[in-house]
Amino acid sequence: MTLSVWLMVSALLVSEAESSSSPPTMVDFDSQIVPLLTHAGCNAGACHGAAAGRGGFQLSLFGSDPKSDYEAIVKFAEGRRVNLVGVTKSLVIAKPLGLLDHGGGEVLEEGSSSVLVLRRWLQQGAKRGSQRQLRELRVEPSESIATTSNQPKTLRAIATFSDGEEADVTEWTVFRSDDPASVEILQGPARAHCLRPGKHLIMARFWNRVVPVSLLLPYDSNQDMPHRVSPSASFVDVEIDSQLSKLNLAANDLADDATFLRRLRLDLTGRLPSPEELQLFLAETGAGKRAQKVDALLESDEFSSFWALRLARWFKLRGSPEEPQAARAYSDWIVRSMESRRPYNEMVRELLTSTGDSHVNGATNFTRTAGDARQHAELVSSVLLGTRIQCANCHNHPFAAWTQDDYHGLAAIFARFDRTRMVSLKKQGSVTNVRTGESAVPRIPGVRNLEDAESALDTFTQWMLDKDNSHFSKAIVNRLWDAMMGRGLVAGIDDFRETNPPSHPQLLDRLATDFVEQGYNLRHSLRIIATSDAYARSSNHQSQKNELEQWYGASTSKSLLPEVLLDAIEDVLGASVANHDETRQRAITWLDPAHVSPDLDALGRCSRSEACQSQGQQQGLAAKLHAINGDLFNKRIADKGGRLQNYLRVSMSPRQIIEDFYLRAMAKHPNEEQRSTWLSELNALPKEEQVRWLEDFVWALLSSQEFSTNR
Amino acid sequence: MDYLSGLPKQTLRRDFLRIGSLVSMGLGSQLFTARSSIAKTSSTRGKARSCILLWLDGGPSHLETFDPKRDVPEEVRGPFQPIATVVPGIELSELLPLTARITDKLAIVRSMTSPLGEHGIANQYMLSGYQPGSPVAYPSIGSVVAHRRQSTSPLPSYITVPDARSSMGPGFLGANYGPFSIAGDPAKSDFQVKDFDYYPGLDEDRLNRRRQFLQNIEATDRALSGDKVTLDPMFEQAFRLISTPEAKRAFHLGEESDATRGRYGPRTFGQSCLLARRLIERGVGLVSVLQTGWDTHQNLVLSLRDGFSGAKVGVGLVPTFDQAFSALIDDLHQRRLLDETLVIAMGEFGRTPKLNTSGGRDHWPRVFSVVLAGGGVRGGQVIGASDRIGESPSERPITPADLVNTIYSLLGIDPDGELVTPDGRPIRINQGGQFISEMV
Repeated sequence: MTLSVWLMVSALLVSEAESSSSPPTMVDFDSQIVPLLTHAGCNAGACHGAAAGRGGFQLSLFGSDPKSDYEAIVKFAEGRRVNLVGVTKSLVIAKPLGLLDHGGGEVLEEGSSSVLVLRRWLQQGAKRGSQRQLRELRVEPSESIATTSNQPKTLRAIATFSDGEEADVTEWTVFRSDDPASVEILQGPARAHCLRPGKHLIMARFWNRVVPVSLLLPYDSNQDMPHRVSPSASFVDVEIDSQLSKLNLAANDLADDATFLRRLRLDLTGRLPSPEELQLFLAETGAGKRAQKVDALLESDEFSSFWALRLARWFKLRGSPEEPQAARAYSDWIVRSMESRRPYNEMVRELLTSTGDSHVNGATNFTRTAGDARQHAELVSSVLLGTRIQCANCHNHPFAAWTQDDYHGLAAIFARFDRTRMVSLKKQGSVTNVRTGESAVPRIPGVRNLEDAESALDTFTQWMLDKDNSHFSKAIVNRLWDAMMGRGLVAGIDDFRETNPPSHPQLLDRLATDFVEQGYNLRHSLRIIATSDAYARSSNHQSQKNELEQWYGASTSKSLLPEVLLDAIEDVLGASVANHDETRQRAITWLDPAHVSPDLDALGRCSRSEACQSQGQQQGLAAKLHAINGDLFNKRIADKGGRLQNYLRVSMSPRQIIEDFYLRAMAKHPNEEQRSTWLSELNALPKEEQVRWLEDFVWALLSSQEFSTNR
Repeated sequence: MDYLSGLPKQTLRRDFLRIGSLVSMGLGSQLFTARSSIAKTSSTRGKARSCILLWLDGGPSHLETFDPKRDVPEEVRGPFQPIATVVPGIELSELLPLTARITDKLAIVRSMTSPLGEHGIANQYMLSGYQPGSPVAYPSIGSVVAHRRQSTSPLPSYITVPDARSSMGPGFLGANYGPFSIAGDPAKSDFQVKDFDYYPGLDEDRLNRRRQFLQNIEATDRALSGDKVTLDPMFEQAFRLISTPEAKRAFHLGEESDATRGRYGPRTFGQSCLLARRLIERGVGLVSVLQTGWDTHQNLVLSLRDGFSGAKVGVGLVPTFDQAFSALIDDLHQRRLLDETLVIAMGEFGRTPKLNTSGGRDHWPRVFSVVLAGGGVRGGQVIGASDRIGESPSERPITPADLVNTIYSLLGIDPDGELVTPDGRPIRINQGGQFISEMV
């Protein structure tokens, strides 16, 4: 393979002089003309690359289909777009130059290399050419760490084509900064200049390919950054700490025991530690007590129960009012799978292939979650591969490698499903590939066609669960990481794509490999995360808050899920309202979001039909008005059977009451100053006013940010 | 000593109560005299103090409202005819007879154009001026207004009546600048805003005590994390709002005469417009009024004119809009509020130039219309034009970014000003838009 400086520019600029001696190189339509259309923006979604084209001229989005582009340019419109005699009269050159009225304005400049190449192509007879494809696009440097001088980095794009040629295509590559405030792109020659410290992305687009380039500029730091990767550190901490060190960021110390226990309890079991549990944990000595606690919680029923809710959320479980039995069977199946420690790959196998009565066989409801084969394809790619494939329904995906054939091919795999109560596989079923207008060929996206429709689902399932399919294992470990750390290594748990790379690629690889080696064991990977230093850090920080959180040098504070928050409120207040109902369960056991609960609505739960993956609590004025004047707190605080009224009935001392509520809500005692202020204010009041005072005190505790977050 | 403020704690409580009552009495009167204003910079041209945004959700047909066509095939013209208005040369659809009488106060833009024809992303583009797709979640117009506004009113700066769409959110500005949705129907006789009134057993003293306790807890917590804010501003506003009866009166539509209520029409949209007027009178920055149902893929006669089959008097989308919109403009004009109130009627896109087989029209962003009035806008004019069949702009194409730029300018907000994301990125309030100079 030779690295020729292929660029037509240079070739062309000299060709005038030596044209008599050597025959000019033929301009290749697919690999030269189409990329220059991409470079000029002609085939972007907002212009001729739109699904319906523009101004009657339609190109494939970003030149993904050179054959149809060739026809659009050379054959359609009675061939007016090319004029081989009067080259400049060709619409394909006159319009972008602005010689003729053009809705997109002047996008090419007279004398530019693009125009020279276009002219030459027309002069040579507007031939299609080699039909070679782009095999690889590489940008140098692909990752760079700026030094303190922070000179702009020169960028080079190198393409490898299917005929083996390797060429410098920098001039026909568009470099775009993901965030112009962080990195600016300078032209002639193309260079990237970091404006802010941090790790930033630029996107290089050539022809129909986009590759990310990451640039890293260390933070200034006054202090000497101690590099404290200990020899015994887990692979998690090795990766996290070395990235922090590259960025010159000093990580926080570890959080204290009480903070750690509250965090771990909420993350693994969705509930607060009781005062008794907290006291025991604080009293324990021994270096391994945190790891032991992690193990104990992972073994508990409470863990299975809470993580069943997480899985239900991930699988987008949602019952319909007409068939409550279906949602119940599905919920039971998830809970049983968690309790029996079924490996994740086995669970997914059932989700993908189960048939039968959906009111009995819970796993069949995954198939029913999708209304049709296309939605099924979107569900599978989002949940199991962490990828949004939707865009490829109408056109090839603009930011990822997915094509329309991938999308409709994946849908075709699920086309045989009968999605009524009795889930079954019909003899036949197909979806139309909107690109070809014909039945889509079942296809593993980006991999291969599955010619035998009958076995397509089994083959696909096999591919999905193959231990070498890292898409699958990365998607799930990224979800685990996101749940524990507050943000995925790939930001957006269903947004894996080349242009959204992980913050710590090696760590994601290691976690995924380890997960597979350990038998797809969710508890194992959670243990790896929960016992790392990265998980255990304090959230307090005076400066560089965002940077530290972004790189896991400080713990990120996470909003409690509405279900967890409701349970926590009731636990602190003595489950007063719920206790009047014997059948009442904890909110986290309502895996079906259709379960009626005005309290959860007030707390801003997600309907799960919408794409609200990072569901937080309801914010804003309405939520605060409800906290003040609504039932959520007031009714429970005043309840005769509740904790506060019980304490008052047995004449517990105000001091004890204050301590007890602090411990339950915050897993800590009030500090000295707080304690004495509360008590002296309280003691100055007449007895009957003390009751209302305490009600207001409890209200304030539960309304605080500290209570409703896990940090 | 109080561990928070350094004040002796005995006085803290008393002082606090006094401040509390000052808040409820003092601000109440201030509310109606010293109205809040948006910070102005020399580079802006706006004189509008407030904005009422009528959001016609689903994409209103330009051909059946503000851009009717004559001398075209019926499949283009649709079931209705153009009518003349008080402004010679400007015609509207026959479904807008009342609006035709106030056309002298309207600037009609007939050459809006956008590439986005799907509701969600088109909404975002129209309501933020930014095309979605970047990692940044851009704030909607109302949230930018709330952010730029220096308000002393306990009323929220940005209110949606009755509901918000997700594209009306605050984006990276955060929940403090999100809309307050009244989440009730102003047309109902028992209309009231949820959680405005004291929970049984609560009163102003206890409310103040709760506020103080919460502030104590937050301050201790923030001191640990090195953060300066003491109380969530939304909590602060909720406390003030609950304890300010004058502010809550804004929502008492019963204070309006039957005649006034009648002018706006009995339905939700009309009474919502009336409520919007009461809110901007009390210094609210932007009120967004939602009218749903404009996604008219079927039977335009039923959806746009009749409302239900067999209706003797049309109560469909356009007559409902016509009555409320014209009443609002008239009412603002009579109260001398029109000059300082920018009124906008718009949706996310227009509809296809040719009727579909169901007698409806489908999504069409290539050309559509929006209407502006008040707030310094020069009325009685049409800006831009669509081609003969309403398919493309034939002159003066105007993008959503241009429109949003213009709205900000008219409201005295510098479109070139900067906002900052939580992670410190500077983002221009408007990018790539140009002021529509004909507007003033």
